[in-house]
Amino acid sequence: MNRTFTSPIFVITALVGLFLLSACNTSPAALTEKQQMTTRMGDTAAVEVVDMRSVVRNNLLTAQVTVKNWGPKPDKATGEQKPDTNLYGYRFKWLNASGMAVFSDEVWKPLTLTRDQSADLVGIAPTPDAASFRFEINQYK
Amino acid sequence: MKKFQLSIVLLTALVMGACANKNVPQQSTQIYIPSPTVVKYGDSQSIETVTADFGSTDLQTVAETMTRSLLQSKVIQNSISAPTVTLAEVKNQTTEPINTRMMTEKIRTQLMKSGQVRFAISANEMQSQVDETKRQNQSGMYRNDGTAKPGRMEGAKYRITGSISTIVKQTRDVKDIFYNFNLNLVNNESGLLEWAEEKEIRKTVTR
Repeated sequence: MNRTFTSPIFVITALVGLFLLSACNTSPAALTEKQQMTTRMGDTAAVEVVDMRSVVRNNLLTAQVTVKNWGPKPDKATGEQKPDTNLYGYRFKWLNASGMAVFSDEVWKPLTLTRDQSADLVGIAPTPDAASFRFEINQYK
Repeated sequence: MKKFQLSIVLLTALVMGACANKNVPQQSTQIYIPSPTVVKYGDSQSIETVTADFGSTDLQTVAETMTRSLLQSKVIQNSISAPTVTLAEVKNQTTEPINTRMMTEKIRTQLMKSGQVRFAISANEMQSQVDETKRQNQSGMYRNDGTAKPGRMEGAKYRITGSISTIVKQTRDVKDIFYNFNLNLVNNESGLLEWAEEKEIRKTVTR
C-alpha cells in the first residue's frame, strides 16, 4: 500500500476536508410535512398548525386540521401582552393524485379563535378525485 | 360741500361695486371636482365584512358546507348511479331580504359540478319544460325524429328542501345576528327524510 495514504498528515487532512464538506452540505432546517401542506398569507405567525390528518369517508377525502391561536407575542421592552386584533381566514385546497387542483377555489372562512383557543377545522373534498389537500390560512384584517 | 359729499358717495359705490365685481366671477367659475374614485377587482372568495347583513361569504360558506355534507351522505355515495334530485327554492324565514334564488342556484351548481347527482327540473321550472316540448311537437317546424317527445321525463328520486332563519338581538351598542340554515333530502317515494344538515353563523356588530 502506498505510504502517502496512510501517513497521519494525509488522514488528518482528509478528515478535516470531509468535515468541511459535510458542514457546507448542511441545509436550513427541513420543512416538516405540516409546513409543506400549509400556505400562509399575511401575519399568521400566532396561529400554529398543531395537527393534520385525513381519511377517505364515503368515497370523499375528509381533512382535519387542528390549529391553535397563541396570540401576538408580548412586547419585548415592557413584556406587556399585545391585544389580539388580527383576524384570520382559512380554506382547503384539494389536489388530485398528480398534484393538480380539483374544483374551484373554496371561499375563505373566518377563523374565530380567541387567544389560546384551539379548533379542529374539518374540510370535505368536493369530488372523489381529490387525493390530497393543502391548508391555506391568511390574515384578512 | 354737496359736491364733496356726492363724490364720496360715488367713490364708495365704485369701490363696493369693484369689490362685488371681483367676487362674482370667482363664484361663477368655481368648478366642482368630485373626490377621486378607485375601481379595482377583488377576490370573490375573500371574507366580506362590510355590514352584518347576509353577505357573499355567508352565501358561499353555506352552499359549500351543505353540498359537501350531502355529497358525503350514504344516500348519495351508496347509489349505484348518480341519483336524480330536485331542489326547491330555499325559504327565507328571516326578516332580512335575502336572495334565496341565488343561494338555491349556488347549491345546485356545486352539486352538479361534483358529478355525484343529477338534477331533474323542479316545479318552478316545469312550465318552461312544458312550453318547450309543446313548441317542438306542435309548431310543425321540427323534424319528427329530432323532437323531444312528451311523456319521457325522468322523475326525481329525491327532493332537497331548505330554509334560512335568524335570531336577532340588539342593544344600543351591540347587534347580534344568528343565522341558521337547514337543508333536507327527502325520498319522494317513501317520504323518508334521508339526510339533513345545518349551518350556523353568528355575526356581531359593535359600535
